[in-house]
Amino acid sequence: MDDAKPPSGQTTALLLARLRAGEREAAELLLRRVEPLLRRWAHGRLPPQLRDANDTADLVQVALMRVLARIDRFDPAHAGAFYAYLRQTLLNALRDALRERRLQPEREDEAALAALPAASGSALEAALGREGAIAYEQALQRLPPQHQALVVMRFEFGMSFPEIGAELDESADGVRIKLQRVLKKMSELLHDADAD
Amino acid sequence: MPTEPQPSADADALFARIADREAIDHGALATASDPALVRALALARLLEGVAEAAAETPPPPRRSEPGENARIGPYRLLRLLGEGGMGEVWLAERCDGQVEQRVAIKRVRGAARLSMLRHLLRERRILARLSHPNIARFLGADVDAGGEPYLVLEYVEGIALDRYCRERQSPLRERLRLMLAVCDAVAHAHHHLVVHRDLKPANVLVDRDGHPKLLDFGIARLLEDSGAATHTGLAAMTPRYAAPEQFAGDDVSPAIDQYALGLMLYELLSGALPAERQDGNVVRIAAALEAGDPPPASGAMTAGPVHAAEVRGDLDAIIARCLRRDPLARYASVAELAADVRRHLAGEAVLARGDALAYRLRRFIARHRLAFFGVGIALAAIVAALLGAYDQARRAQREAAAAVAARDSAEAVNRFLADLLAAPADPHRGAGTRVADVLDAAAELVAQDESLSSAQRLAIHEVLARGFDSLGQVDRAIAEAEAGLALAGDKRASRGQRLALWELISRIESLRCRAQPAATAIAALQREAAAANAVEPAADALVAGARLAECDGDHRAQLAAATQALALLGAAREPFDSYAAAAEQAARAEFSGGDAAAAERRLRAALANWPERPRLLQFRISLRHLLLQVVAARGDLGEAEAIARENLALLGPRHGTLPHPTLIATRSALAAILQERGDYAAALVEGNAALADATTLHGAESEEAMTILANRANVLKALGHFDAAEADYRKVIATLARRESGAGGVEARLINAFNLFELLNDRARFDEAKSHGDALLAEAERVLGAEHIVTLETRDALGVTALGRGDVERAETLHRAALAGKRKALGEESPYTASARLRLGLALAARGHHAEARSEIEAALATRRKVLGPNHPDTRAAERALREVGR
Repeated sequence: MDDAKPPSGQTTALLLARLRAGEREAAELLLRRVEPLLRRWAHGRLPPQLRDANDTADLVQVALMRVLARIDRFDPAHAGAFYAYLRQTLLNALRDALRERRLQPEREDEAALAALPAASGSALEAALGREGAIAYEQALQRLPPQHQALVVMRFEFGMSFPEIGAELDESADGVRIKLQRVLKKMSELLHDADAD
Repeated sequence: MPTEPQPSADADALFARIADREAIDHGALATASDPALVRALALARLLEGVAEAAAETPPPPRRSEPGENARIGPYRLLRLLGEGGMGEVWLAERCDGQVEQRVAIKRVRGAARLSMLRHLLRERRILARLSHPNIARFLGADVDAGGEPYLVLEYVEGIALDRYCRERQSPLRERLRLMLAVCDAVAHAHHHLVVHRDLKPANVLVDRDGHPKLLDFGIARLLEDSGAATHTGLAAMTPRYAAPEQFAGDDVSPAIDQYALGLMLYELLSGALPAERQDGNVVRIAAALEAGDPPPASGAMTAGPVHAAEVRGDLDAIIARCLRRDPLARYASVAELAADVRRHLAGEAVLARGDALAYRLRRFIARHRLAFFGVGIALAAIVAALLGAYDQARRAQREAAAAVAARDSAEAVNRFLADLLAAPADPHRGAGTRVADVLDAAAELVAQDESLSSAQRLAIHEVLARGFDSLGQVDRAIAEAEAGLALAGDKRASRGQRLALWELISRIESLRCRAQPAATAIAALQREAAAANAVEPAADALVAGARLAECDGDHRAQLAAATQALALLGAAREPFDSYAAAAEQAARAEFSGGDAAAAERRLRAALANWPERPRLLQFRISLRHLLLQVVAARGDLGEAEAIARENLALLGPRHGTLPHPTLIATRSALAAILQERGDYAAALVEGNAALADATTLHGAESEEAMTILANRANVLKALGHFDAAEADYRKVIATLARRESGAGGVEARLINAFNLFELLNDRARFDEAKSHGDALLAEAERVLGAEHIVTLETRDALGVTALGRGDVERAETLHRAALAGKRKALGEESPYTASARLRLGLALAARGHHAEARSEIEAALATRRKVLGPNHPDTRAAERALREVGR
């Protein structure tokens, strides 16, 4: 992703406000913007059997539909919450897809499936290992929601500091410094989890 | 990412580099002992992996394998027929020397074999249960040498349903026949608890004999597998044909198939899917679903052999019923949908439009209108005239409102328009300048005049919107209103104007039944009304909602919205125009819903204590028009005539050069009532006056003029003015043939052609009648079907022609065929069946078979006495015929 900020009047917060005011085209602008981010995210989490372009697109479409169906009721508790919401929706769609296709025979236990941040054999699991993936997810979940959103935007959706700054109405430098603090906190949570 | 920054031993510096997504040399830091640094490194590893996984781009889709000539079980693959999310379909033939057979082999992708195998095994069970001539036959399922499961299905050599209809330019009835077959197949599957889940024209192939076959139950799920319903699966649908509940990820049921069938009907009849579904963009589709229902198919026709007029009404309502957002609001089953389409084809009232009295009456008349024209029962003409008149009256009502708004609008606007009129840019424009010309010039000027402030511009757009609206140029009115709204912004000062513009858009769009834009405008009007805490626009929004419900045939919702509007306005009944509009909607809902008595009470109550304000006159006439309709429907033609005459008096002498639409409507209604009462001479006077005015206002070939002209021809025929009647019929037929839409389109033309045919028979021009009648019969059979009343009556009248030409045997044959057709289509007690009996009796008498002749004529007489009454002219004619034969 390059460092371009969203055009004026099209930050997520503004688009959400326009959407709530009844402007349907705001939804299209919003979702068109996030779709490529979602697609890359989804691709990294799908199992090998479902990783071709069609399946990735399908997963993203399902997630987008769900976001759209509920977007009128979505009330951002904080700046950046929309991205955390997108991620959660994608994750739910992914788990449903795995459940639907019974692609996780060893994980049909619902509790295990619900804790799963990515499919077995996914690019994420290949990069982190299963334990690493679960440790990351747990550390992330322990962060306050605003901080989760920051990590998700930066590392999962690959957004630049100016882009994140535009979303949070902060300077790029401000975002950078805040993220450093969040990472420090996250590293401690990771350690605490290990100790547990 | 930068590649070689020196590692820092400082944990804080490391966090900065992780945040920047710089590459970290983990090897160089492997020996670090600072616990903070160790933790930072562990996190860095994880976040690098996270970023890496998200940076990978999806590869292109895998290629299918195996290729042509490969063997699968006893089959050799010939060519790839198609590929989808679940797998691929091959044309194959048996190569084990057993039976020569071409089949379709459906294979799943290599991956996920286990789950796919389960899926296919389930499909095998499902398909084994489905046996229907319109579902591709299931021949077997197996696993190939490599362990890959496959299905063997009947190979259907055909082309996709939409392409078939497009290439053959299939007429409406053909398209409906094909869809009925598909509906029957889906209903069969539903009966076996199978939901298709991916219905679309590409999944229906039509073979060379014109038989459609439904393919690909590959994604169907057994309802019983998961209880009452099953959950939507990933990608198990085609977004273009998906139901709202599939987008929402809700449970699926057979209602999703019905939704897809509704969309297929929409596409087959209009030529295209609703605009928002055409490119399959889920975002756009879901947004459109939020905004409301798609516009009616008749309003979205592309060029093709199906005409908007054929789709408007029943078929629009049937499609709308399938496309209801709430699955429970759709038909109870696909079988019911099919039954409704069949009802439409048989000319019966369809469930989709409710069982409203007025509607049933209209359908009854549509089926029987020939008799009404022919024997002088002009009920059809009355209702047609009243319906047209009523719409025109409503248009007039808008005009009145526009005049008031114009008077109240800003001085700047008045000056602008006054300048425009005083100093014509066009030297040829003189005193006779029409309002339309002024509005055109103003629209042009406002676009060019840069000196105008945005407030002035806004005010002018508002006046132009109202002006175009009052002239019936609704598209331009909407464009001006939208231009005004774009300027209105969020300023508090312009809220009144925004309210007015949204009201105008919601009224126009709801009047023309465009659900989606109407719903958007109504929502905006409600929002603005709530922000302004204003009662009148809130009531107007409810009234517009009531109109929309009426478009859907949902009289209950119409009544609920109108009643709510009346409650908002309270006992004070102010503002009175909003009150009158709400009362009118409530009464229309009651009348259409079958409670004519309640409608009449409501209308009489509204009309009592009417405030004497000149600007409310149009509303009063409008309500009286509805009352006229109610009174006529319960058969009190005396009072109906009195109301019509009082309305004429209320309208007063004509002002200006152009006739008022309400005046035309009222005269036209009066002519129809007089015709019904048998006062043909007076009917002719009013009809002539209405025709002259309709020609002036709407044009000589307008729908309004054609309706009045066709009715006048019937009056002229009844009066014995055959030459004039013939000229009118010929003019109507020629005009409708050129336009072939509106005024009932093809059907209206053929009805008039039949009236002309009968006239030729009456005038004993039998040779001419024969060629005209033969051509008419052929076209009617082809276009309207064998059981349509025009077809049945034409065959019967051809018997009269044959008798006139001295061919008594042919006459008997034709009458017998006509009688059989009518008995089957209309039943024993229909006056049409009685006419066929009477004519058969006369033909038999001409052949000397007197006993049989008497028996047929006696049967006809008995029916006429019972159905038409002893004093009806047709009953008397049958009595005379019996006496003749007796002699």
